[in-house]
Order: sequence, then structure tokens, then C-alpha cells
Amino acid sequence: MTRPPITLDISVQRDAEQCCVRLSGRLDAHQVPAFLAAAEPPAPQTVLDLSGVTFIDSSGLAALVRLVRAAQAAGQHLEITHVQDSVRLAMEITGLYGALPVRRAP
Amino acid sequence: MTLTDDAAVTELLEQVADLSDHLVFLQRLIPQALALTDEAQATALVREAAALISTPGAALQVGGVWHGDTPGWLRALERPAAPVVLPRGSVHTGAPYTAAWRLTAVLAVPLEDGWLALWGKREFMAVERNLIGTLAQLLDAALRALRQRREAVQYEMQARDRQRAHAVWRAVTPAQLRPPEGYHLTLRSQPASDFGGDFQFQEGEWLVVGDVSGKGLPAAIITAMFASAFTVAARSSDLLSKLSEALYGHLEQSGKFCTLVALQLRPNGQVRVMNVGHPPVLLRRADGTLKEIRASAPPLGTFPLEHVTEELVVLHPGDALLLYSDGLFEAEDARGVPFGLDRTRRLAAESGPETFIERAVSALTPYTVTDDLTLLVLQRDPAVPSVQLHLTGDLARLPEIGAALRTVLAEEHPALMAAELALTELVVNAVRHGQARHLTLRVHQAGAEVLATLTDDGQAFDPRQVAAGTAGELREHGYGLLIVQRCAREWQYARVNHLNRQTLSLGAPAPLSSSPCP
Repeated sequence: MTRPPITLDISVQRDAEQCCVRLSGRLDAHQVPAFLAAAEPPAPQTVLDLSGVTFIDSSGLAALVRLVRAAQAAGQHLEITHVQDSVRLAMEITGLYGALPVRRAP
Repeated sequence: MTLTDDAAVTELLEQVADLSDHLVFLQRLIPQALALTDEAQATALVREAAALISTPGAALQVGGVWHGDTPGWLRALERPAAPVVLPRGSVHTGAPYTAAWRLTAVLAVPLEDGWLALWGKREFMAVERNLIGTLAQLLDAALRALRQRREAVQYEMQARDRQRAHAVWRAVTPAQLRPPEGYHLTLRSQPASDFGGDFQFQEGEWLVVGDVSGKGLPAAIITAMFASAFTVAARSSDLLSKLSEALYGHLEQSGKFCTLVALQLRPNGQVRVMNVGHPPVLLRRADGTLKEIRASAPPLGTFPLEHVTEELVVLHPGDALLLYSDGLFEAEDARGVPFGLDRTRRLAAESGPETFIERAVSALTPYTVTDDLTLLVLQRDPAVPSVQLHLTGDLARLPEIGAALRTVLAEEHPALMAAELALTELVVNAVRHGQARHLTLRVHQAGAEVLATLTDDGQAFDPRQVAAGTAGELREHGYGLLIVQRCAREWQYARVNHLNRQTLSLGAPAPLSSSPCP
């Protein structure tokens, strides 16, 4: 049994057209302020890779919604990928799995 | 020899013959008298004696009841204090006793518990009086023996009846109960006599412990009525109304009342407690802290049962409910000082659930228990894995919730993710909105669900009262309560001792019903 990581790592790869943000760790009420502070200015194409996110709570979900709305307002495209089980559960419970731009597993 | 002499000799011979007859009669009488089984046989012996001395009327009175043919004038006579002959003419046997009209002497002889009378002759000779006097003595001995035999038989029957009744009562209020699934149960049921007014019944998830006012057979009869009403009432979730419906009238008519505690014990540790006039139930947490669950309604039979506030408690592993009847705290020592409720509480706090009964009984040694004594301990199985986590207002410690859950739940447990999610929401809520700085989380696994109690010292706030946002709506807040609602099978809130206390049964959320997909 491994303890879940207690911090959130954010790694960003971007070029002129595309931005890939890879998150790993917990996206909870404690981590969200740091996450939002670190949020990159939007790019025309943004991929939010959640493959390393082990836990998300309502604050984390709200932060995702905020980013998605900001992208929509700027006429840019944002996609959420690699949603893990626990994150998917939180999204499903709140009805956000269908409402957020989540790339479905093939 | 003169004619007169002849006559005298003849009379003498007759007398000797009579005496001889008397002797034969008495010889026969003794074994018959000893074997007497009822008053009719005694009357027959009196009649036989009457025939022997050639008088037609004979009657026997025993215990105020006449046996044999008893004319009205005889019934009007008093029992004599000593054997007496009422000479002819002195007894009025005329009107209204015309049918019995006869000029007769009456021989009346008292018995211990009655008297006998012979009549129908002009006079009674000394030998005849002696014979009847002897008969009376024999009858006295025989009737006394008969009385004693009857009393012995009656006593034996009563003793046997009581024994049987005790067996029935014990079957109705068993000295042993089966431990409900998920609990340890210890019971001591000690009636003050053959039957008690204390009772305990069990049916399905229901367990009822109570006390009918009074003791002995009258209380036992009401107890038996309870037992039969309980079996039916236990099929309803509204057990108390059903019990009251069935018994209120009987209790009121018989001037009795009844206190009771009804418990519905679910295997996961959730317990409904209803206290109707009974001494406070003690809820003892595993750490020794005590909470009293007091009566929320007067005893059954005093007022019509209107509403009983039930207390919902969650027993985490090691927590226990302690129940006792007034036989415990009303027991008195040699100076008449009662055992008392304070001492009961101290005993409950100091001794663990395993030793409470044993220690109570030994503490009672210098006391006299005059009432039924019932002690019952229900402990949530302490072997079920559980965890307790203390948190502060520091949200950096949120990951500890998941870590604590994983000490009692396997990674693949269906409720793990939902439980971590919901409990995180509640902790964040209490810290952010209630300014809670000390939070305690107790959690144990209950099948496919997780039972959790969260207490916090934040502002009084019942989060269940807040309307959760709509699912599937893109907004930047208001998902937290939605998450809790969807993960909680049950969710209770109470404000106790300046603390918010929430108890939840958490499980994998059901899939969203028809989501508004295009």
C-alpha cells in the first residue's frame, strides 16, 4: 500500500499552437490555489493530461470548470485526457463527466 | 323371679346387646374414619350411628355447610359449645316447619369445625350419648386429617403450578438472548421472585428491555401480554405505536404501567434507541466517554403514547450500550442508602463493556436488591477494523483521510473512493465555513459500506439543510454537497455538547439517473 502523493506536480510542454499540461498528485481544496496560480495563459490547443491525478474533490472540479470556461470565452480549445477511476467517479457523481470536454478512453 | 325382674333382666340384656352392637360399630368405624375422603362419607357414618340407636334424623355440619337431610328448624339452631340434649318440647319444629313437625329431643354434639345433630326420638339414653360423643371425637380426628391432606394437596398443586408458571415466564423472558449480528451481548436477568416484572424480548433486529410496575404474578401476566404483542409489533418499523395500541387499554384497566427501551440494531452499527420512561441508557464509547440517552416519553400506560423521539446512534467497534433496571440503582445498603445513578455511571465509565455486569454484581454485595435486577450490555464487535483520525484546521492534512480509510479498507473496496471523496468534502466544509479547528473522524467498514462519524468544533451547522447544486451544470462551486448526497446512503446530523456530529453510511454512488444528454 503506497501513500498517495500529497503534493501536486505540474509540468507544461508548449509551442506556439499547442500546450500540454500534465498534472500528477492530488487536486484537492488545499492544492487548488497553487494550481490556479500556476495556470498557463491559454493556447489555441490545450491538453490537460490527468493521468497522474489520484484524487480530485469539488474544489478541483470547480478549478477544471474555470479553466474550461476561460478557454471557451477566449475561443480556444481545451481537452481533458487520461482521467483515472477516482477522478472519473467524482466527475460522474457531479454530472461533469458528460459536461466537461473529456476525451473518452477508446 | 318376678315379672318385673324378668322385664329388668330383659332390659339389661337388651342394653348389653346394644353395647355390644355399639362396640362392633365403633370397631368398624375406626378404619372407616381414618380412610375418610369427604364429608359425604362422614355423614354416612353419622346416619349409621343414628340407625344403630334407632333415631331417624341425623345431620352433619362441617365448615358452615350442612350435609344430610337438614330441616329448616335445624338450620336455625346454633352450634352447641358442648354436647347437649335438647329435651322434647324445647325445640320448636312447628310452623313454618310443619313438614318436620314432631315432638322430639335433639342430641347436639360440637365438632372442631362444625357440629352434628340427631333427632326423632323422645329421649337419648346415656349410652347413646356416649356413643355419639365417641363418634364425634373420631370424626374430629378424621376431618382434621382430611383437611390437612387437602391442604397438602392444594399446596403441592400450587407449588407445581408456580413451578410451571415460572418455566413459562422464563421461556417468555429468556435468561439468554442471542447476540445480534455484529454485536456482543451479555445479559443478567435476576427476578426478585419466581416471576419478574423485568423483561427482555428479541425479534429480528429488535431488542426490547423493560419493566412492568409491580412484581410477581400480576406483573408476569402483563409481561406475557407484552411478549405476544411484541412479536407482532416487531414486524413494523413503528414498534412502539403497535405495542401501545395493543397494551395501553390493558395497562390502564389493571392500573399498571411499563417502562421500556426499544433498540433496533443494524449489523453495520447503526442503532435506533427509543426510551419510554426507562432509566437512562448509557452509551459508552470505546475511549470510555459516556453519553446518556434519557427517556423521551412517559411510561406506557400513564398517558396515551403520542410521540417518542428516537435517538439514532452509530456504534463503532468497541462502543457499547449499557442498560439496567431500577433494581440496580434502587438497591439499598444496611443504612438504607441507595446504590444510586451516579455510582452506576461511574461504574460504567470505569469498567469496560466486558466487565460492567461482573463489577456491578460484585459492587452490589453489601446492598440488598429487593426488585428484579436486569443488566444488559450490547457491544459492537471490537474485532471489526476501525480507525480514528484527529484533524486540525490545516487542509494540508487532507491526504490523511484517504490514508486512514486505507488502514481499514482494501484498495478495491467499492466504497473507498466515495468515502474519501465525501469525507474530504465534509472536512473542508467544516474548516472553511464553520472555522472548525478540531475534528475527529471515526470510520469502520460495514459490508459494502463505510460507517463514519465526524465531529467538529465549528459553528453549529447542519449541511444537510443546504440545497445542493444541480448535477452536470458547469459552475465554479457547489459540487461538494452534491458529492456527499450521492455517496451517503444515510446522513444524520446532531449538535451535541457544542460539537457538530455527522454520522454517515457511505457507499459507491448509484449511477446518475437520466442525465440531460442531448
